[in-house]
This record gives sequence, C-alpha cells and structure tokens, in this order.
Amino acid sequence: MVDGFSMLQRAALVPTLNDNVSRFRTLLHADVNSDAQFRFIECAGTRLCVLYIEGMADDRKISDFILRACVEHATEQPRRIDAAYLMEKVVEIAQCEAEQRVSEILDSVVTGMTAVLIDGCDEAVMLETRGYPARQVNRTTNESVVIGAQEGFVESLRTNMTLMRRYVPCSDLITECVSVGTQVPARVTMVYLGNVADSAVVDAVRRRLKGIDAGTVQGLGAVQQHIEDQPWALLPQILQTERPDRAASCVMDGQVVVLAENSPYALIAPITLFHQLHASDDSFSRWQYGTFLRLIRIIGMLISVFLPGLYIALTDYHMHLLPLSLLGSIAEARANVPFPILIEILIMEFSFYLINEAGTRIPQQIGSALGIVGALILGQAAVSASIISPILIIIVAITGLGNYAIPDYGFGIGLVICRLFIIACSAAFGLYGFCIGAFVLSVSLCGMKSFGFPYMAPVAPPRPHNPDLLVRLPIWLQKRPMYFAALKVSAHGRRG
Amino acid sequence: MIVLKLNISRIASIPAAFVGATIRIFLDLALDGGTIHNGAWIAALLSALPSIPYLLCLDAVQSDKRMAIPLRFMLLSVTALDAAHVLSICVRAAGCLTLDYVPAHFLALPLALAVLWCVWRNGDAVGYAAILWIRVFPVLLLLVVTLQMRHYNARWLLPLLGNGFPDIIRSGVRASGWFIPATAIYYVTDRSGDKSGRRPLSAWLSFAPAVAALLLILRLMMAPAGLYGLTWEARLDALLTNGRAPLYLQLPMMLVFFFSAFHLLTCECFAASALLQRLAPALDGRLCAAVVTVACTGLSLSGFTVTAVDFIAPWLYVAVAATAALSSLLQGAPKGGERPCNG
Repeated sequence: MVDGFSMLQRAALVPTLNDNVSRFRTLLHADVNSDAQFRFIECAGTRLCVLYIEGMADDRKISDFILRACVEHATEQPRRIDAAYLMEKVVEIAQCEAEQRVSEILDSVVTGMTAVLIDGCDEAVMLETRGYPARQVNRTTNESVVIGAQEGFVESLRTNMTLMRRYVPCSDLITECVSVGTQVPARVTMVYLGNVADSAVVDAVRRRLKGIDAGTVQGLGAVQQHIEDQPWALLPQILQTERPDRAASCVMDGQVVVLAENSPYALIAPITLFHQLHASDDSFSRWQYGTFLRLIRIIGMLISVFLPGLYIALTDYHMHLLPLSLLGSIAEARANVPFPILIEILIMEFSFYLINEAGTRIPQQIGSALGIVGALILGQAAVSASIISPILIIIVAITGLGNYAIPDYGFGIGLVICRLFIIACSAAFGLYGFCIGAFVLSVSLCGMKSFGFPYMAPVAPPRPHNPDLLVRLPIWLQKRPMYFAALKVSAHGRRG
Repeated sequence: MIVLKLNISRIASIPAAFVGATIRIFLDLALDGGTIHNGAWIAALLSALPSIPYLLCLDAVQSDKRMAIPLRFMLLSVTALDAAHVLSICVRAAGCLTLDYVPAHFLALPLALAVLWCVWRNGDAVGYAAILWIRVFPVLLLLVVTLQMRHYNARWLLPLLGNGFPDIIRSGVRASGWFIPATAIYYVTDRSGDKSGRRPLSAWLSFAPAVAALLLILRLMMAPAGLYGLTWEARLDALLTNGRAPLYLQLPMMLVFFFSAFHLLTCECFAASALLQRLAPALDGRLCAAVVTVACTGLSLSGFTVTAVDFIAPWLYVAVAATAALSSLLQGAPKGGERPCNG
C-alpha cells in the first residue's frame, strides 16, 4: 500500500481529468476524509475539478474568484482550456502557477492552496487561497520590553514573513523556503540579507536544514535540535526569539533567521553567548541606560550560576573567609535546622522550580493563589518549622531573580543546570571544587561553536566588533555589523 | 580510526603559552624555589634573557619534521612531569586550606577528570579559556590589590638584591627552564594558516616574566620575605592569606591562585597529549589525553615529582634548549630526502 502511494505521489499528471481526480481521491483518502473537496465545474465547455481542503482554504476566495470566474467565463465558441489560459484569462487570484508533479500539488493543497485540474491538460493551476483561522499579531508573552515594539511572531508563517518584510523593507531581504521532514513535510523559511549575510553561513544553515532526515519535525524546537552544532551541550547555540524587531536586527547584522509554520518564534544563527544576554530594550534605550541594564543582567547571570555554590563552599568548608559578624548570623539562623546545607539548598532549589513549573502550567485565574501558597505560606512555614534557614531563602530568592533577568528562556534553564553542577562541586570539595566546576564550565563554553563560530567570541577569541558587548557605547560608535557578516559596512554607510 | 586530532590554532596557543609561562615562573619563584627572597622579581625578569634564544629556536623548528623527534620526546617528558608537579601543587594547596583530612587521591581525581574533559574539548577551547582568563585575571587582581592596599609595605622590597646576585642568577636560570613545559603548547600549534610577518611567540612571551615579576613584587610587599619561608605550606599560606590582611579578604586571592594553576595544568596536559599524538600518530587524541592524565595523576600521587622537579629544575633549561638548538641546526642543514632539491 505504501509503495503504491509512493508511486502515485511520484507520478505526474495525465491529460485525463477522471484519472487525475481518482488519483487524488486515493492520496487524500477522500472516501473517509470529509474535508477533502472535489468540485466539478465547466468553463467554456471544458470540465474542471477544483480541489481544496475545507477549512484550510478560504471559501470566499474560492467561490468568488475561482468558481464564479470559471462558470461565468464565456467565449464565442467552445475552446480547449489549458493552465496558461486559465491563469491569464479566467481566475482572479493574484498568486498562481502551473504544476505537473502530483506530490507538489498534494503538498500545496494540504497547506490550504487550491488546485484546479483541467480535462485534457496535464497541468494543474495552483492558486493561493490559504485562509485558515490564525491568531492575530499580538503582544509578546515571554520577551516583554518596556520601550520599543510590542508585537510578536504568531503561528502563521506567512504573517511572520510579512512582519520580517515590514521591519526590513529592503530588496536584498531573501526569504528562502525549505521543506523539512520526509514523512510530514514542514514549511521552514530562511530569512537573510543577501548582501550582508556570509554565504558560507547561509549555505551551512541551508545544508543542515535539508540534511534533517527525520520523518516529522514538530516546529522550530525540533529544527533547532537537529541543526545545532553540539546537541549535548547544556546551553543553546541558536537563539530563539518571539520578537520580529529583534530578528530583524539580527538579519541586519548578517545572521540568518529561520521561521516555520506553527511556530510563534524565530531561530537565529550563528550567535554568541553575549547575544543571549542582550534584550531589545538595550537598543531602544539611551546608551547609558542600555549599558546599565545589561550590566545588571550580567551580574544576574553570574549570581544565578555561582552564588549558591559559593555559599555552600564558604559556609561548609571555609568559614574563616566570612566576616565574623556574618558568620555569627548564619550560625544563629542555622542553629535549629536539622539538615546539612547541601540538602537545605537542594530542597529550596527544587521547591523554587516546582513553584515555577506549576506557575507556568496553572490557569491564569488561580495564578495569584500559587504565589501566595508558594512564597508566603510555604516559605514562612518552612522557616518556622526550622526546615530552612532564612538566610538560605534570601540566597535562593536572589539566585532566582538573577535567573529571571536573563532574556533567553532556554539559556536560563541551561544556566540552572550549570548551577546545580557548581553546587555539587562545591558541596564535595569546597572552594577547590567550586574552582574546578567554574573552570570546567569556562573551558566548555570556550569550546562551543555556533555554526562554526566560537561561542565566546568576540571576547575569546578576540574579533573586531562594535562596542556593544558587555557595555553598550553610543550608537554612532557602532559602525559595523557582527564579525560573521560578509559585508563590513555600518548602518550609517561607513566602512567598519 | 582517529576521532580526535589534538591541535590548536595560533590565536589560541599564544595566550595559553603566555598564561602558562607567567604562572609557572611565579609559582617557581614564590613557592617551589626554596625560601623566597627580595630579588625574586629581578630573577623573574632575568629569566627572559636565556629564554629568548630558546623561544627563537621554537619559532624556527617545524614540528612536522622528523628531525624534531628528539625535541618532541624531550618536551613530552618534561611537560608531563611538570603537569604532574602542578597537579600536586593544586592538591597540596587544597589540602592546606581546609581539606587536610581528605586523602590526596580524592583531591587529585576530580581535578584530573576536569583536566581530561578540558583536553578532550581540544586546543582551541583550552586556548580561548586562557584568553578569557587574561581578561578576568586583571579584574580579580585589582580586587586583591584594593583589598590589600592598606597592608602593602614597599619597604619590604628592601634589600633589593635579597640574598645577593648568585641567588638571583640561580633562580633566574631555574625559572627560565620553566618556559619550556609552559610553552610546549606552542610547539603543537597548527601553523598551516600562518601568515608571514606575524609577531612570533618570542615577542609575545617576553611579557610573561614582566607580569610574573609584577606579581612577585605584590607578593613581596604583603609580608617580609623569609618570614614565612621555612616550609612550602608556610609560603602558600603567606601567599593565599594576603600576608597580614584579614582572613576574609583572601577569597579573591584563592580564586586567582586556583584558576591560574588549573590553566597551567590544562595547557601542559594538552601539550603533552598532543606531543604524544605527534609521536604516535595512530593513537586517538582522547586516548592520548587519558594516558597523559592518568600518568600525571599517578606521578603526582607518588610524591616523585617534588624531588624530581627539584633535581631537574636547574638543568632543565640547558638540556632542552640544547636539544632545540640541535634540532633547529639539523633542520637547516642541506640534505636529501624530504628537502626539495630546487635550492
């Protein structure tokens, strides 16, 4: 059966309408699929079959601009209609093309396009009639900014491509479509600036996308896992963003953006660690504010990874490194706590992420209740019951806040795992273990690559770059795109 | 089948060699070389003089030539031995802090595993981490200096020559020997993409003794030389506790010490592993790294390295520099075989 299907798909159309229709009926399982529509009409004496999927295609477009146009088309005498004639004289839809291959027609029809099969012609006319319900462009949910554009990507690929076009109104913007997945093909689009992006990078992205040999690829999350340089690494080497303005800014820096149907966000490659610490606000704010916020974020990241490990190393092994008054406070607070500090930290970390995960899944209406239960009741009760020391709650709270300051969600989760690694090292060997953990982490980061570019560049190794890395200097000093761009010309037209 | 070819680009190897050389000279003069004396920083500067001809030789010797095999073997032995010694320094330092009740092999094992993991990430990761450390190190050093500021005493640098010239020269020659294992990473650099006119290693590494001298000056201003100089542990304690500064101020110094030592150790282990792979090209890089790390850990735990390093240190420079010079001369001599005949 599968072989028969494959043969049908690989074949081309024949000039007999009934044969073509029966072939599509088989391929679309029309005997059981009630939404596969085959509408027979006559146009100037030639029989046509309009093929579409109900719900995916816009009924109004089909009836007004295809069916009515065909039926009402009159010629002085009956004539043989072919695809070219139909496109030129009859149908009133802007985007159309002739197609012979059955597999291509089938792929287009299931995504909402309409095929018009013509009796006596071995070509079908494919018409753009996609009109399925989709979410309107709305505010971003995970990457909120105070200043700047508020709209985010949606599930419709077409809308997302339009958003990119709006933000980068340039004839060099290329939107290249790639079909991904062997069994259920997914539409994926690469977006880049033809004269800015390095062709080697574009080729690498294209090659990796085409090299995905999975049967099905569920959205960009799966695409990301298939094309990353090091899938075993803890931190992502491809940036995810739901903000078209951020994606557009990366495109202008010479990076490649990948969009996909049903994915309300974009992938950006290549990237460095520093991209994951930047937020859109930085660009919209004055450089002093942008720099300040970015430094806060970097400190937040360092606190998030290292603070609990350092706390455990100092309080468990190197008490002499703490000022006496602080040591006294800690000892007093922990006097009645029955657990070692490691257990105490793990309980708090686990509770924190339990509340976090529950908060993500819980219906919005009862979200505030979770905050009350988590923060107030549990925290207060744990301290009163001497399960947790108050100082540890402060440590874990600051750590959590540091983690939330990181704009990239995946990067934040990766850092949590790094933090647990540092905690384990510190718990085992104190400051010696802490240093070993941090050292391994730094070498691992330096060994990572994103599409062949070092992850820690332009710091390690040094690369020419804009003064927009850890601190953000004034906009007029930023003269060049990222170092991985092919074109070294600034947004102001000066040579960098 | 070779899964991992251990190599390192030039842009990564020079910072790695720089960090390695600086830290190795500092550790030798501040910890290993017996009683620290006021002239230690002068000895560090002097160590540059004999090192420069060696580094020029290193620039000249092509690592892929057969004539380099004796030098390669010599470098492998010395680098592995020094890596074992640095590992033992780290373990002893960890023990001196608060882990004195933990057996040495429990302290050596995690570090050995960490180093093995880092070497498996290949040379660029090691070199780029050294670049990162070069950026972070001054920040931490500034913190150390700021915290210690009130306790520095310039008068403790006097008398300037310490125990006198013979001691300074002896220490200088000894320190210059440590350039060899610390810069071995440059010897395994992939130079295929080198452009003529680039500054050679020798030019970059002339700064290493200067930085080591600066660190020694800071160390000497913390506490009078010789006051804590009786045992290795006492010297380490004086170094890490910032002399007379309050104990709680020593945290950044401990971070600087451990991270620097780890970088040196990783550079040396990587260099030794890559040299082993050059000597036995059929071996996979992962296996070479594992062999070197296990050997270094074993050597370090045997206690052999302390006496061996003490014994070879004064002769190290002469032995390896002579081998390097010989290799260099033999490469330059006209001969048949590999060398093309077009003159």
